[in-house]
Amino acid sequence: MNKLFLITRPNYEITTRYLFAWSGIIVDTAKAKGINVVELRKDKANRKEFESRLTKLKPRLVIINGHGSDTCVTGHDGEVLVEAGQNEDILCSKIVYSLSCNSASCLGAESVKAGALCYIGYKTKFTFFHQNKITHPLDDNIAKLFLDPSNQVALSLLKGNRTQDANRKSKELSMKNIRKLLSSASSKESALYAKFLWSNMHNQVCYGDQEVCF
Amino acid sequence: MTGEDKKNNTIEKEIQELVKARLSVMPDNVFISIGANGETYTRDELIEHVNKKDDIGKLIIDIDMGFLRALKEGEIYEQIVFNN
Repeated sequence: MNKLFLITRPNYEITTRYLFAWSGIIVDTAKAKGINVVELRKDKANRKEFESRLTKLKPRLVIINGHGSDTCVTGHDGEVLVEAGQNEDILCSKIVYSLSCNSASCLGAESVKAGALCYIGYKTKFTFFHQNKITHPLDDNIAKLFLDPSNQVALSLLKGNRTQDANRKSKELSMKNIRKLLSSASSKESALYAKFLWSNMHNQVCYGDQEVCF
Repeated sequence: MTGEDKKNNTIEKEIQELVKARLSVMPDNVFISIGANGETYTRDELIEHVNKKDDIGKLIIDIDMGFLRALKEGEIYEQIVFNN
């Protein structure tokens, strides 16, 4: 049976515009590997579609891009997709990676309690610097410092790595970028970027089964 | 206000000034995305939030101080060596 994964890709302001562009790399990689992808793009990243596709298609891997809080993650126009105490059981038997602020702190833990295999996400704010390249986000080398490490989680999972290894490889890429930023050859603002990248890395957690693979 | 309180206030004020000084190197054409509503901030807006010490300002100070603490305690050095 072919592998199947679902990814949400809202795109309605500058932050989600960047996440939309970077998540395109994940989708392209999956397609190149012959993995079936269910993409919820732009306004399709809404709760009704999300719940319906998860229930009917039962993807093993779910990647959520968007905004978040301690208790929820959102889709297009900030619509709540999953909320602790409401519908976290929708993530039962799934490996989840959520590129959003804060959601690991409560929703992540609650999802695992409700049966999610694993939840990788961030306990506090996920932040990134960028140059406001709305039309060509992928050409933004500053955003790349932050979004390549976050993409690494999904790319590693697609390769069949265990969840703990996907989390570790992403953190290793963050550290590689931090090392580069702190080197003597870097620009005067590099240390500033390194601090925020460290914060993302430090607050990136992997809850649930550490051994499970996609 | 006790002597201890005054000392703490002075330290907090000094930290705030240091964080602002470090933010001042951020280029004009660079922005930062922070937060649940996708807010994007410029250097001057970040400095203003640190001045006000609102939620964003406190977050910036926490990130800055967290990094320095990790540097002082050798956590960053350890990670760099471990990943090399």
